[in-house]
Amino acid sequence: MRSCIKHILHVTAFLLVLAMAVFLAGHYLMPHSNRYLSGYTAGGILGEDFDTIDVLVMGDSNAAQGISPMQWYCDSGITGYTYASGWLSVYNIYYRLRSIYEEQTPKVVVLCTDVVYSRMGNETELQAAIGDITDELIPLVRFHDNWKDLTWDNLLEEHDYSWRDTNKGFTPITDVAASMRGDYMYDDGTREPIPLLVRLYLDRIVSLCEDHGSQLLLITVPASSSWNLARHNGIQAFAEENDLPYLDYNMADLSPDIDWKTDTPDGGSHLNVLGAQKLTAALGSYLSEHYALEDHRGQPGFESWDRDAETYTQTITDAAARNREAADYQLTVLG
Amino acid sequence: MSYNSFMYLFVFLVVAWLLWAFAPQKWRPGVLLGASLVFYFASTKRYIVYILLAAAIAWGVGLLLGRLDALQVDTRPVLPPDRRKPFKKEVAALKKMAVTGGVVAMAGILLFVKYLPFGARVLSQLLESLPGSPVFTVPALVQPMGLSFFTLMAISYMVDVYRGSCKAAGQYWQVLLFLSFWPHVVEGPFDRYGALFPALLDPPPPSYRNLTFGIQRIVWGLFKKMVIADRANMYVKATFDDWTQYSGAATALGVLLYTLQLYAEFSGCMDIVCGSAELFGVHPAENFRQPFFSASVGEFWRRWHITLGAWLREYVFQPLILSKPMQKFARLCRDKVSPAAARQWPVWAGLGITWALIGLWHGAGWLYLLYGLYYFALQWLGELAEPALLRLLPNLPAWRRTRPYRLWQVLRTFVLVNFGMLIFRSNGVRAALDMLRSLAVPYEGSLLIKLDARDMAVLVVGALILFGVDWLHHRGHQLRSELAARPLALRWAVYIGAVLSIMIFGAYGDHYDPAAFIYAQF
Amino acid sequence: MHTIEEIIAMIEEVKPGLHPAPEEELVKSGKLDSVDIMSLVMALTGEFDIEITPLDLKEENFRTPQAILAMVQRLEEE
Repeated sequence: MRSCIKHILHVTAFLLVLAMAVFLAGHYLMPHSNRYLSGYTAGGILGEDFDTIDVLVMGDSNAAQGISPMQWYCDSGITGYTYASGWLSVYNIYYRLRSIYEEQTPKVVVLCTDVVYSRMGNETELQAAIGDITDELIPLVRFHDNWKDLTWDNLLEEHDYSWRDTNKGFTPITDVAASMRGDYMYDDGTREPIPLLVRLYLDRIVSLCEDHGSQLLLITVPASSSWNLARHNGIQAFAEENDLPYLDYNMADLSPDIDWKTDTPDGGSHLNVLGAQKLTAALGSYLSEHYALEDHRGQPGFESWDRDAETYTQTITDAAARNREAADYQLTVLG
Repeated sequence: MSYNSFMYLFVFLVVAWLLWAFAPQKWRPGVLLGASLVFYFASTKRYIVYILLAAAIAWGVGLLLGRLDALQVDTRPVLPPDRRKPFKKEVAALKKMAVTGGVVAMAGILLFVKYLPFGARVLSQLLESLPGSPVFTVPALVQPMGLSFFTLMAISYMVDVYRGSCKAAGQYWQVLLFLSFWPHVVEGPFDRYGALFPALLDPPPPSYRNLTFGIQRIVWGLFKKMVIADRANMYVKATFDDWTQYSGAATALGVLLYTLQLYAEFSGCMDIVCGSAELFGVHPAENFRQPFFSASVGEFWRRWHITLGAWLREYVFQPLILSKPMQKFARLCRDKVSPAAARQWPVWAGLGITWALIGLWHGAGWLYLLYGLYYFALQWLGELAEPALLRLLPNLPAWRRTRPYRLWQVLRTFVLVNFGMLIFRSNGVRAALDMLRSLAVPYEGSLLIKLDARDMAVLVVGALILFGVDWLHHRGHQLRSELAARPLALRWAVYIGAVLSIMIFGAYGDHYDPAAFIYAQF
Repeated sequence: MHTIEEIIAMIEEVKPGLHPAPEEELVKSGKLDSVDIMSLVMALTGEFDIEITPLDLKEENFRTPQAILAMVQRLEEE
């Protein structure tokens, strides 16, 4: 018995030292700049001043390419950020939201529900959950490949997490590749159920928003190749159970007039600038009407936003023009 | 459940071990059986019937053989002396029928499920030349996990009981546990019932040493699989699946990296399963004994996938040569040719058949047959050339004992084995021949295919570590015990270093394709 | 009655260049591998009137030329 206790203590001590080593290594292997903390420019949110973001959009690549918060700021002074990265899952989003709440107090959290049903590769739901949750809880697992980026120069450098994104998480894409899919929201009478573990984490997100006093808004970014009515029904049911507003921009009555021949860069998986402008405008007017959001233009403490707005206006005008050219070309090709 | 998955390592093993350790002694085999069935069912669902059936057949035959033996012993004293020998002969004949029936049934299951489509293909190719012949294909049946392993282990159980090497298991669940024991059901090793059942049915108490040594062995296996094998896989997949795009040095490097991948993965898997079993005081047979230190292809196959070679030697090669038809063939040779032929030709025939089976065991296709026959050709030519070589170079036996010559043999074997690996991994016989031809064509591009310079560096260091550990084992070191005797700081540094290197350098995550265990497909 | 010389002569036929002493280790030392053993078995069954079964293929029966001789003599009596 005595040796048993001795062994248990020995093993526990070892595991503690191991855990310390793992977390140290993880800290050390994190990217040096917040620009590379996540895909697209999601990491830029850490560079924003505390408590300046009023609308936080969370989603995957659909959101990153489809929602441009600076457009809201230019139109009505709403400060928003699109925290979105390719293939983010509900598990990822829960933990990222938790860490964002340490620095920001958004009044509205917009959750892009495309993430509920998407999955990379052919893992099972359980494997995906285990993988993503481990990634979030153990930074070493998430950033382990960064050993390749360590050089003798940056070996002992401090992390610098002050980089800001003028587009606030939005990535303008100007390509055009028409989607020929036609009606993808037809009714086949089914409802795609939300997987159990995903459901669990959605509930946790709902509670998290409540605890921090944010209002949660569910939306679905238009995506003709990956959305359908069955999935809409699944989310609709969840929204009703939790008494949450749900805007599915794929539905005819809410659609911001997305033209699938010109507004997508990859056959319907994502939106380009033309599509993003329409979606952002529609979402922006809903936000202005239903939530008490301050107009921060010209306010002290928001000077950088005003400057970024100017840069953004220039960027987006150029991007829209290029996108228009590509769209016209696509239309002539389609004849 | 994959052996390198989170579920297996941190849930299944932990729960199984806790249940096993805290269960009373006579329930422990039950825990092992329950865990094995859960493991098996999780991966195969309703196809679990195959292994249940195989266990039933093996157990039934074993019981029957046991009863016949008991009958023989009980009845013998009661019989008059002149009836004893004929009676013994009758019982022997019945025993032979029983074991033959069992073996045929088991082999039948394997052949039917695994080789039927290939057989149908071969048959229709042969019949193609005849006019009006039907072209038929047979759809492939779903192959349950471990089919190639548990059917052969069931055969070894029945034959061992027949030969008296082990006692028949009294109860069905004992045979089922032996066959479905999760460490060896997916990729082997081929264990013998006689060797394993004492530990399975009457396990030693949980020990700290077994626990820690088992975990250390699992970590070593994970290192090999995740840092070396899965990384090499990126390059290998590109050069073998797209073989027409590459040639010369790129193809050659692909072959070398495949050899490294296969060795790291298969032996790594063996480390994981042997380590898993060791947690429970069970020691499956070893499948590898530093194979790349071999001096000949024959020796290589006694050090690589040892249990497969041993199984085929004991249950196919030897009985085949000793069988009546082969003895008749030998007599024919002696009468028509020479006594030397009578000695050699049956053995070569048996060898050829055995090698063909080794090849075909790996897969139902011409490529695998070619693979087996490649090694047969090497071994046969070696035997044939021996007398001529000794006449040409009378000093050869003396040279063979020198160090430089041994080094030459090791390198030569390494090259020959790599050619075998090229065949093995190719996309088919035609692809194999294409790739062999393309080795002579120089390759203009960069050798950093799918892997950057830093990945290559990790592979080189990993291979050196692997080679180093093998070399230490070759010299007789027992690394885990020797490490356990060193000071605490060093031990912990090694263990923590090992875990960290798997976490940091493991080829997992978004940038890598997941690589399934290669031998699980056989 | 067979002699040890007959056995050693057979071994020499199977593996030219090998001249073992009567008590020399054959199997563990690697002088005879499984293929050689089977060739030797063919020679033994051809030369003598014995039947070798898989059960006889034990390491102890082939350990030294003396052991082989003992096995042959035993099998002849059966």
